[in-house]
Amino acid sequence: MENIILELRNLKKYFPTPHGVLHAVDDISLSINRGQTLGLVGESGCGKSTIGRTILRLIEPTSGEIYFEGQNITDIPKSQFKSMRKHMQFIFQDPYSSINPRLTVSQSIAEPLIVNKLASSKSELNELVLHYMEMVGLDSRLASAYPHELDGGRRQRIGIARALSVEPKFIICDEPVSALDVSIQAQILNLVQDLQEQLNLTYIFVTHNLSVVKHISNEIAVMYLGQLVEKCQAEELFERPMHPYTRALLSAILLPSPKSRNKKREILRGEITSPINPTPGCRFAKRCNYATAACVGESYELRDMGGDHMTSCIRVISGELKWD
Amino acid sequence: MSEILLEIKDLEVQYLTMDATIRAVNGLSLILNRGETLGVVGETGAGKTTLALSIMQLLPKKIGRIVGGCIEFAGQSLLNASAKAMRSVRGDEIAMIFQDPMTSLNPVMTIGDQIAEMIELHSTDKNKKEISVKVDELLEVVGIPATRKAEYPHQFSGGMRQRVVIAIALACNPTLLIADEPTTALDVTIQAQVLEMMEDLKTRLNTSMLLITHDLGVVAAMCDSVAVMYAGRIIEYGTVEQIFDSPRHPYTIGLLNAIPNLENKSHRLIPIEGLMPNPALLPIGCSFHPRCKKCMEICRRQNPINFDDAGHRVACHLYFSNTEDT
Amino acid sequence: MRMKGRTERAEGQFIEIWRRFKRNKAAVAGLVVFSFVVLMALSADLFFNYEEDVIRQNAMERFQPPSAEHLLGTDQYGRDMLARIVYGARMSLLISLSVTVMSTLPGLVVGFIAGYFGGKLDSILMRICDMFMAIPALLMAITIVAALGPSVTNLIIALSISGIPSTARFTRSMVLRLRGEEFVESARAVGTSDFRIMYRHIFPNIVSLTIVNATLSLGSMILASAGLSFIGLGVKPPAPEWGAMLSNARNYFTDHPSLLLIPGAAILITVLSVNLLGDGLRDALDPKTK
Repeated sequence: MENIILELRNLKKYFPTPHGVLHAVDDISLSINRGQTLGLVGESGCGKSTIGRTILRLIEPTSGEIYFEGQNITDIPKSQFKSMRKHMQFIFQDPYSSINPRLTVSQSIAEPLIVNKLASSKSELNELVLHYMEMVGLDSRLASAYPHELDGGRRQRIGIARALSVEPKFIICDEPVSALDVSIQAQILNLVQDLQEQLNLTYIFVTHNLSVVKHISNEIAVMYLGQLVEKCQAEELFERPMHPYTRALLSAILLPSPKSRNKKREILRGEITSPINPTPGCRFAKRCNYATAACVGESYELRDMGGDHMTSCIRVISGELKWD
Repeated sequence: MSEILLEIKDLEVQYLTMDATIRAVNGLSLILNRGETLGVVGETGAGKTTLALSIMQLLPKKIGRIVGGCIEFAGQSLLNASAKAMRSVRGDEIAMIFQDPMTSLNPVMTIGDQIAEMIELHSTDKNKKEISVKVDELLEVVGIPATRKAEYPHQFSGGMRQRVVIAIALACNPTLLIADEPTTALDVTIQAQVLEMMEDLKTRLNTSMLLITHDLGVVAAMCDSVAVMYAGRIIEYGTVEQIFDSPRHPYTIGLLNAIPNLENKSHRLIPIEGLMPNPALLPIGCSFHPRCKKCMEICRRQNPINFDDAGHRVACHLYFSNTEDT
Repeated sequence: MRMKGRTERAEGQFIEIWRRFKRNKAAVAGLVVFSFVVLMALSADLFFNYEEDVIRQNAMERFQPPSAEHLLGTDQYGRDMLARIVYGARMSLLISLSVTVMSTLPGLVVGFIAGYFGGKLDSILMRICDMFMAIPALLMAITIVAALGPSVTNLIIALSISGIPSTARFTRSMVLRLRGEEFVESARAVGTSDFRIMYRHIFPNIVSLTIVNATLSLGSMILASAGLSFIGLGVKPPAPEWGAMLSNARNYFTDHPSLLLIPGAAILITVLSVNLLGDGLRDALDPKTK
């Protein structure tokens, strides 16, 4: 148990909207071991980004607890939460909007060091900035460049350097490569992995891209409309997906190979809705090709199907639905 | 022998800004046969969208200019066509689907009216009744119940909106459909739905398609042939099998290596080092040479011509030197 | 060591802005004309004596046509038109600049607080602004001046108050937009305090638009002060003010149209130059037009 760095217990985040209560994160429990990467996968509006922001208290949770290194951090008053942010950091999705356009590269990276008083003198600050620039592979001659002079990949490196500069133990990566071109994407993914090894970092890697998540994660959790539907080891998920939604997601991946064209795809009906005033029962049932009357009405929880492979599909749990 | 529908030769397009001349497309040539789907692949800044806008003659006025080459559609030059002739080509002959279904629909018109407007513009002989029937038909084709035609775009989700956009594009049975990143803004399961529908339409209506995307998976799933674009040129062209199973250009090989592979988990990805060149300051010689691991002396001096092997064309000096050696 | 390059960069930015500004010929013309007006107002004492040329009436020299002595002729009291126009510029600029500063700064503060903290405070502040904005600005200024009595100070106070709500709303909308930007969230994620987020991350991003907005409002303030003086609620005679000069010249329009046309042209040219300058600044400062 010593090894668990972060644990979420029954985490909920509801947003009031004019149409009703939006259950962005609805009763999520999970834990992450030190030095591991948990991939959080789902489509737009499933609440995956909200989880990350709630952990860092950028958004206040509605209910539930977050334990960081055994300490309940949901109790800490917001004014004292600042000290926790030194341990937990965030890498944002959009390298274009997440960097202040009016600050130079070095000013941007210096900000977290200044506000957390991590440098005792100006020269130490400069040294640290250059140190982190080097760590993320930014040439020191870019120190006085403005973000608009840089491409997306380099900007994302600034974001990573900012996150690293407070020496966190845990980083939430919110789709850090989805705005980047593939050739640049590979550079950033490699960097993120190298840093994990060097600094023994723990990641929650939020993404909609299944190829990326398989590449980078040890464990994967699949979300649908605010809830977890499946969670297991990365390899296991791709070999033995259990939940019909996971299966549909995997089947929708388009491989860069013409052979995949003949693969039979599972096409879902309908579209993702938003979880406003959800009715009890499986939220995926409306689109599910395997749903029966039993799927609606009662709430279901994740069940361990052996080997830490958890799923919430009632028909899989009951053994009614078997995949070959 | 298949019939050529669209032929582009040595196209050069420049954007004149106050600071510089941006060479977005530099001597691009390609051929699209009738009934075929051609994928144009490239990263941001490769000139993909410029290519589409040049075909449609919709380059931003004053700034964008076609400075060389020719574009022939069904045997007719589009570059010499009058503005009026172009208007009838657009929509009637060539239709375009843009990336963002949120912004390419008019928010204050019902979707039925938007489709009807397109039909009215291009076939004046139809009366109200006939148009209405046609609208219902089109909605049915793209998988939207005709009962929803009185609704406004904001009442539809992203995938549904893209279907509406496609219905508008198909309103006049175009011979050629240019789709610029049609599924990039969509979620994977929705992308699967839309692609399946497009695939289905293509076979039913026998529309030719130019599919512009950065997503190699989409190309592999949808296209007959592929053109890989880099810095405003086609650097490799071939059938889907040729490109994906035996890529030749170092850039194409690099792109395929840079994608995380679902089948065998390798620990590290192999990125292409460096950046896309600034189109205002293109390097001399092959524009990929500063990033190329196999760069030779000649690459720095001379822009390579195409090496053609059974229709698999690659613009790279490597293959010329190889043939000279052997 | 590298960070010393910062000042260099900042200079580089100004050069960049100037380079973009220069391309807009109309804006450059606006800058030249407006600078001339400012220079004229500043150096008025070098050429004219206020008491002698501007105030003292001279019955012998009424309605003189332009001559070497009086380049623009004289008015109905025999005062030199050029001198009055030049001193009028001083008055117009004094009023409009003070009003612009005095409405922009409080407006900025109110808008910042409302936009950044949101919630109840925002609602209250914005409802107050709405109340003020429901009354036409000029009408409100008239009311305030009527209540306080016509004087230059009261005119400035009246116009400033009427200008605050629109600046506050404008600032609030910019702050609101920036507050939702990821870089502000990113600043919060690394533990930056609210105050630092405001001055370090939000303020620099709205400063250029605020300058542009202030410049454009300068023009309308020149017009507003002339308008109020025209109806006798601003600068009191015999002090020269363009609006008041226009008003006084009305009775002599048929016989001596130049008395009306000269101050009219002064207003027109100044307001136009300020607006052209503002437009040019907007294009030069907005990085999106690059």
